[in-house]
Amino acid sequence: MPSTLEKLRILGDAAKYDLCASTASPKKQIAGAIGSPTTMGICHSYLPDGRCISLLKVLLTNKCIHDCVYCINSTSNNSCFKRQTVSFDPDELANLTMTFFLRNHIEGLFLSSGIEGDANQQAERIHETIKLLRDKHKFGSYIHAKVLPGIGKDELKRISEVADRVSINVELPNSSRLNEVCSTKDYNSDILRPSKWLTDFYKKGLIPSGYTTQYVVGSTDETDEEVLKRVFDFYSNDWKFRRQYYSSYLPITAEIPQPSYFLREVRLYQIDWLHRVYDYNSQELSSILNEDGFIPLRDDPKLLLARQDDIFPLDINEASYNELMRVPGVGERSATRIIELQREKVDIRKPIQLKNVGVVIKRALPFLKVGNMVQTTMDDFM
Amino acid sequence: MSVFRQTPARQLVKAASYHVDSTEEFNEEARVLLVSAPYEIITKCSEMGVLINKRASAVYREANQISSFVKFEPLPEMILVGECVLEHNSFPIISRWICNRLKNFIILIFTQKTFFVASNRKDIGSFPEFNGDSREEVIEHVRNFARESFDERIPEDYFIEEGELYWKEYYETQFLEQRTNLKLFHQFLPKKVLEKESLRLEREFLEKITLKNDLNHTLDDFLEED
Ligand code: SF4
Repeated sequence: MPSTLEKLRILGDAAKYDLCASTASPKKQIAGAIGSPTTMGICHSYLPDGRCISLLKVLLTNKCIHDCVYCINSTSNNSCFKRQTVSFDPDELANLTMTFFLRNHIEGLFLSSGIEGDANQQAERIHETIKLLRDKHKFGSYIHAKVLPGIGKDELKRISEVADRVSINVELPNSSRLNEVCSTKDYNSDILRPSKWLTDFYKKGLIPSGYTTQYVVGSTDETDEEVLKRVFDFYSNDWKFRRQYYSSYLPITAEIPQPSYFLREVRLYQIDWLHRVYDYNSQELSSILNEDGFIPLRDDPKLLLARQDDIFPLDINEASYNELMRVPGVGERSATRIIELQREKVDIRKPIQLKNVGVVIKRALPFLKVGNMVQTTMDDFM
Repeated sequence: MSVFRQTPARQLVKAASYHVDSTEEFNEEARVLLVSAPYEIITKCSEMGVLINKRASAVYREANQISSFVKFEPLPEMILVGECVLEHNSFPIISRWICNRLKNFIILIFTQKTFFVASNRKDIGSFPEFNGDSREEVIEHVRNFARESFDERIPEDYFIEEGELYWKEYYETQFLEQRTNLKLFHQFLPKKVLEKESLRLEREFLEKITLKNDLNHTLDDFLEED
């Protein structure tokens, strides 16, 4: 019988590929509860890969009936990296969560699982663990639960009633791409159907922090065009996903890749950010894809978009917030502050004024009129 | 969807007043600016606006690091004991943030010279003046106070023996070696921050993987860099 420590090693290791950035939840604080989620996320530690640790991220079990080629728990993994199969007892995991929480190691729990036999039975174990935390341990802080592929509606609803956020791993952008890496899951019935239920649950006030998904990028020959088609659709009002994450495919037995291997993932995040925060629409963003359907890796997407936008150069003293947000080197913070200066009728005449409000001068100046200055050609800038 | 929230000028002035270099004169000047031209504080378009922001940022940074990285030792009487080094007078912010997350606990944090006690518990009113010649004595006074004030206790199950070893093991499992990115790591944990006692685990693990990967430099090289 493996010890709790041994299980923690194995089930923590197996969950490390799952992505979660947030620990913030708008839910009301429960009187007498232990812990309350904050409206701003907190990172309690960092790893030498640059990722933060804010949640206890574990699987309930690493036994799984599926054969996803990118996964260490898969039935198709026959490598020496295969681990002993173990499972947490819900009580054991709840105690561990409380132990770490009180020591200020974590903000809460991120609970995922392999599928030991039936998705609904496994989902019930996830629900049982979260219920234990909420009811017996009065745990009021953040819980993120993974939606298992093939889960039933009732089981999903029960989890959505007790978790702050849930996520479903879409992994690949469409059915044919999923079939290339997994023969045991059905894209429509196992992934898209439960995703649709999430939209309904969220509208009814469940899962206060919304729901997210993640892609494993590069496990097939999928193009960015295929990925972005799914991404834009999932952010639309039909689906209302809160966030989508991208993770470069890392073969289980692989050597350490060059840092440039991750550039595609970075570009996808930039496009995602430009869509969600900077309000660029899907057509504009798709216009920078090359003829093979990929985001050019060499240049920053916002710069590429600005080069083809005819609103520039912008008069800094007259530009609207939305126009400012399109200037490379200007973000939400600096755009908000520039608007505040305009409101106070402060004339912006010098680049130093822009620097003080947080503008990255070198990137922004070619697109702005500041005082009498207009940096006319891109060549000056380059 | 906007993710940026501008901190109100009033809050920036308050935070700046906790800075180690902020004199009563500075605080008064900041308060005057808050009334006459608050936009200067938000937009940093004057020297005083820049200075207030700079000091407020230093205080917020310290408060954020301590509330995130301080490690607590739980005691049965709903007390969490931690330790930190403070440069600024940022405890009012730290205690507000921590007590908001951990409402029914008493937070006891020792610093270089003193200690702070805070709680959002509704059933204890105000704290008496705790004192003691040693850390142990102070802890004992706070425990006695808690015992007399309420019956709630931390369940025994949460006192896992070698809890720190469990955390260490877990922390190491989360590292994705194929994605090693020390530059990014140091953006979040610069050398000065990494020297803190509460980040010993991160420091030692970094040293271990640096040696294992036979990189030409060790953590010491990094720490010696300017
Ligand atoms: S369903 Fe999940 S746990 Fe199972 S093999 Fe696929 S990715 Fe791994």
